[in-house]
Amino acid sequence: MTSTSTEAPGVSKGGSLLASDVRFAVLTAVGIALFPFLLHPFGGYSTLATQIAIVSIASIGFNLLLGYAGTLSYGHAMFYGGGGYIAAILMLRAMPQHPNLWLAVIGATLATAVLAILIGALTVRLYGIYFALLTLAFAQMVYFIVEQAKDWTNGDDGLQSLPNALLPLGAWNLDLTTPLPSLALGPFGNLNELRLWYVFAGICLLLVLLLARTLTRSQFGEILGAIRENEQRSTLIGFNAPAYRLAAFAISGALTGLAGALRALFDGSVPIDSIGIDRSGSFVIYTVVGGVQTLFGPVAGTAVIMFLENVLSAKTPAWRLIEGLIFVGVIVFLPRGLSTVLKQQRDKNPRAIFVRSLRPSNEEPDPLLKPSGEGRRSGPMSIIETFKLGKLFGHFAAVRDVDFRVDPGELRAVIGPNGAGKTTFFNLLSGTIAPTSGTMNYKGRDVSRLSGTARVHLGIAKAFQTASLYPDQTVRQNCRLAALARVQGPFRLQVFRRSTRLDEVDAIAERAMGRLDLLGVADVRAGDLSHGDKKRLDIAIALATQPQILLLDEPVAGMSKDEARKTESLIRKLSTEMTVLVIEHDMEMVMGISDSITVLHQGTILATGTPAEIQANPRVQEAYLGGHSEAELAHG
Amino acid sequence: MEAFFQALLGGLVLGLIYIAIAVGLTIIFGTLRLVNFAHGAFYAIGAYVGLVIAQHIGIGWAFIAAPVAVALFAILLDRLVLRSFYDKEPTSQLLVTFGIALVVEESLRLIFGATTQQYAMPAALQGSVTLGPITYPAYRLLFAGGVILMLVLVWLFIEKTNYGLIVRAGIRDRVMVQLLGGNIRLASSIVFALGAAIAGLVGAAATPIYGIDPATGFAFLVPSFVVVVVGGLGSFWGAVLGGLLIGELQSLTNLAYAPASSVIIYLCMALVLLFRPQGLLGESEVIRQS
Amino acid sequence: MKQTLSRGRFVAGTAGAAALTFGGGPYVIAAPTKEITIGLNVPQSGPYAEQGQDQLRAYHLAIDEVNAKGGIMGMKVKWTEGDDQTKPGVATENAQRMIERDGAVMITGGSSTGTAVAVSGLCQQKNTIFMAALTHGDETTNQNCHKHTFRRYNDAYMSAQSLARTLVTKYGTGKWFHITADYAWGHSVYENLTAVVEPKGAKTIKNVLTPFPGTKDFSPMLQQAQAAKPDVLVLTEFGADMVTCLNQAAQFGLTKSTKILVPLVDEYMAKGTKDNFDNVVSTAPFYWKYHAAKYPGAKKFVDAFQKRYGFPPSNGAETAYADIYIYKMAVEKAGSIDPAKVIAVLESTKFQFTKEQEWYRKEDHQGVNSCLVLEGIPESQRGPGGFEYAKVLEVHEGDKVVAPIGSLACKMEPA
Repeated sequence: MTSTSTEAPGVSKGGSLLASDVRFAVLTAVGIALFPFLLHPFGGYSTLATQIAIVSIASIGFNLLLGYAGTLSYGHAMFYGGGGYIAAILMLRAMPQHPNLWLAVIGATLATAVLAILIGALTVRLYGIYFALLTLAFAQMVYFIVEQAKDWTNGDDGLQSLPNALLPLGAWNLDLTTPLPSLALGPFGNLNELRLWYVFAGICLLLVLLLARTLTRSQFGEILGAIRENEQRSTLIGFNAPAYRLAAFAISGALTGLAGALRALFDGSVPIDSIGIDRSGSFVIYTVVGGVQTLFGPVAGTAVIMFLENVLSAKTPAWRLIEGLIFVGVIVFLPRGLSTVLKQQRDKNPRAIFVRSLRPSNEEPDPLLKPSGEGRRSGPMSIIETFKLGKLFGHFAAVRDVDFRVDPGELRAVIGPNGAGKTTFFNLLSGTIAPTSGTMNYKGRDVSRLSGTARVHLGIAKAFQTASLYPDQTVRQNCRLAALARVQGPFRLQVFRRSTRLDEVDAIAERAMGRLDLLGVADVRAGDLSHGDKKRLDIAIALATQPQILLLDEPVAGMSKDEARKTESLIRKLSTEMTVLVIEHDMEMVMGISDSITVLHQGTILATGTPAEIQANPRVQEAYLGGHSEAELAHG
Repeated sequence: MEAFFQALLGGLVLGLIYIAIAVGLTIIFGTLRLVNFAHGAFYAIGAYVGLVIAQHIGIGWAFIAAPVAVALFAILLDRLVLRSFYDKEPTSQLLVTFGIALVVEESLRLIFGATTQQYAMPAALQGSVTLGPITYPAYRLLFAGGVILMLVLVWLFIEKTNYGLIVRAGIRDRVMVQLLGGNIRLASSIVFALGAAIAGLVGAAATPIYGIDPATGFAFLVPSFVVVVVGGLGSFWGAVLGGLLIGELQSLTNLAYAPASSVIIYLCMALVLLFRPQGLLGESEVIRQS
Repeated sequence: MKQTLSRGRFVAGTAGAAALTFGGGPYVIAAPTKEITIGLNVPQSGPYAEQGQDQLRAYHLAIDEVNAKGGIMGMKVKWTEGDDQTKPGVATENAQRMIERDGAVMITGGSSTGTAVAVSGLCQQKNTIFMAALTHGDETTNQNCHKHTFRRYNDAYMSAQSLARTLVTKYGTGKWFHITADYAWGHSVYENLTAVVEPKGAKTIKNVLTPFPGTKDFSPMLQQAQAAKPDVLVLTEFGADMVTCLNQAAQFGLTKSTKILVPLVDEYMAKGTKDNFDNVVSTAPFYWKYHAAKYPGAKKFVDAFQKRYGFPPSNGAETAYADIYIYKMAVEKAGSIDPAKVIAVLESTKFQFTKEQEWYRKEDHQGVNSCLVLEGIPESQRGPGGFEYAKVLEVHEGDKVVAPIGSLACKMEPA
């Protein structure tokens, strides 16, 4: 993946290790250290504490995908079991004499990361149930392979009696099965119930928590959240959404694989069910019960459910019913999980927890960010030019044979009656949909096969007919995201630094808000804005991508007269700096601001000319008035 | 060769069972846009209701009581829980229905025990029928015939009735359904109850063949989901095509290498999702013109 | 439930013994207490649930009987239970919990070779005795044998030998078709059976493996069997799977056209298959009707079981019941619950409870006791409850049919 040439300025606000990070690490470490003793009076025991610590790592990994990327995998057992099998096979085959825990764990984690990248590359384009079922399908295939490769995996019997791995650490060679020193703690048991394993697993958990915390607060986490909240918008401000989701999938898979490897080495065995469908389901339960999109939620959920399974299962046959009721209760009443009970619900509006899109993406596969070759040469002056551009939906030609040309700096209006194909035409220009025929040149270069994301980075930006925003973010943050895409490029795995350290991003966002007269509401949640402000914010977002051509789909639709005139003058000002294409039904505005007008009718161009020429054109009048009332014209 | 034809026939019957469950899944999705992981639970409840009625009253009544009971349960579930999830993300729907499936399965386990139970089919249907070189159990053939009849009825419902109009409209254009306004509440309840009742009836009718234990619902749900996805979520004929394809594929794989029969359907689904994500007969998203 | 000192790592100890640490294990034997805990790890859901539940009944009966007569060496026996769901991973987790939290000194249970093998490995690690109950696959005491694991139940080798000896004159030649559960036990049975019948002239047409667990529809496999027209159809399925499979076989007319062999049966499988089990040939290590008539110990057990639960025990229940008494005998003879001492007794002692005099072989810890070859009878002749399901064709002495020591792949850990 390439990034834009604009490097982030190396200005950092504050030191690299903040006091709050240290405090977080210390408090978490104390919590992990106390956990087994708190569990003890309730019938927990040291093995359970260690297993919870290990499995929590998998749940945290799972939550990165479910909570932060917003997609549900029903196949994470392939990474968990996969990590376990790889670690076990490494122990048995590669180093039977000198089992080294580092090698087994790191080897297994890397191998599962590779597996996750391979499978993720095939799956991340799908959403919702499609993604869940596709990951399930891959997990079942992995299960089948593991079960069949009996020579390596011992088939259904799983791998047993792994050698006790030693942990080389400097001069020591630690045996993790060594008990800690004896120290009676009254009702909380005795320190020597714990083995060194818990210390090791606890440190791993602490590191993974720190990683997850950094990651979700980093620029990467911020962009992942933006994509989750509004993928359409994120794509059209220039983020390569599949690449981000693939990265999340790979990290998630690797962490789950790490947990699987640790578990195998701790237990000394890998059972076949560690890779089965019920295992995949268990991560869903742990994470949802504990709380998606929270740092400690997955840990809490894992602890609660594993504790129930281990302790309650010996007491009542209804324990799984209890587990199911907890699960349903949490989804219905606490969509963000148990852990939100503890802290104040910050969010009054828990709507978009997961990716909203239902349908699989019907975009063309994303080509590399290179033009597929030079198109036909066009006049040196044009910024956008199309040749015989067309789009078929089934047998319906929404747009056909459109030859269209806009010169730099022009303000062109695209008008036409309902169903004329205007929005489809804009979607073709912005790259949201791929044409079924014809080509499109941008500054003389054929961009027909480029994705919307790639076109944003070339300078084509779009504001939507229905404002496409990040409703849970502030106005400022909405604009910052677009600026961030401009500055950082379509994909950058910046998992350690926050975007707040990028002054350039702030500056661009500030300018964009200023241009659309939004500075007064900069800190208002976008979802709470008035209709007119929402529409203007959508334009500001497009503007923050620093476009050379701006596509505005009905910018004043639904606005009051005053707002419409205000917006009109803002657009007029913008057009002095860039090319503007605008679809509009408000004829007063169209005639008032356009340099020229193109009329679309039934998917083809009916006429192009100055406002005066268009007004005088009899064919245009025919198209507009033939069977359409004025009322219909007013509302798209 | 005989084995091959036998496998073809077996695949057909198996496919029809999948279709019977999948068709409810698909019309519920098509109309309500609800991804229902609890559909297997409807099958299981129908089977257990059928079991109790068949053992105490008679097998004929079982086939009436099961769909009615499941339809009532579905309406209750819809009103109490699912209604608020219609407009949520599919992932939320997946999770809540997965949870409901879990609760139903465990409740059934507590009530009926974990063991497989079965009730005998009528004595007259216990034998097998010989068709040329092929001998096939009579009950299964009758079952297959019943499924075909039911599919015809469902098809007529969709194509010829006013409620069916809403199903059709829902599949093709969500917005139009919303424009129909007041009717939609009642209609969606009817469609949901109908889809559930079909699953309940299939559960009752299939139990003499397969037996029932609390996990059976989920065991049939997964292949039915595969069928729906392969055929195209929301498409009636997609479910039919997908069911036949999956049934035959599984049956023929059994002939070739039986251990692969469980994985082959996932392979098939993965290929469809990768190359034609809307399913074989699914309509790609209808883009409205402005 | 009242929690005592014994929770956690402090495990009840030998009466009067000083604290001592077991070699390798993390356990500390604390001051003498008057209780010991036994872990009962059986499937209560999944295809083998019925077998698991019946074993549980027998465990409860045996433990109550033992406690009524003063416990084991004066110590009251407590139990802790777990549902292993027939999944090796869950079984291991349960056993771990029983050993570490509940302080179980012995784990017993089973119903699947997969879970038995997994738990066996764990118990070896944890220095805890594992009395594997209902597990029939060879590997429990062969490829995956362990010092701490003892299996009294017949293994697949013994069943195959017994079947072959009884049947070879009747079905030895001809075409055999196998439908086999695709996991350790199924493979073990298939290999043993073909190894003994093929040299005698039987021809194996095909072996179709069925995914385990979770197969609901056996029709594709049964159709193949139907098309192949075998003389003998072997259904190597167990528990609810066998019930489903045999009932579906009957729907295809196979029970009438072919001789059916089910390598291992119990009372619940016979009940579930009703008349379809008529004439089916199988093996079992114990049959309440036969043994109660022959051995006073068995009669006492069957009567007590019948009195408490209202129906007779299945053969899995019998082995569960005997396992408790065998463990009691071994501890009392060793004078300690120290696993090493208990193992030494079990390896060298002959005992008799519900069957003839029997023993465990030192080399592989396989129990040597008789194997019954049974033939199913119609439902109308089975009496109330349908538990009287078969007639005994032949009884084979354990040491005649058990795998020769020289043939074993078992590598036992040193004491």
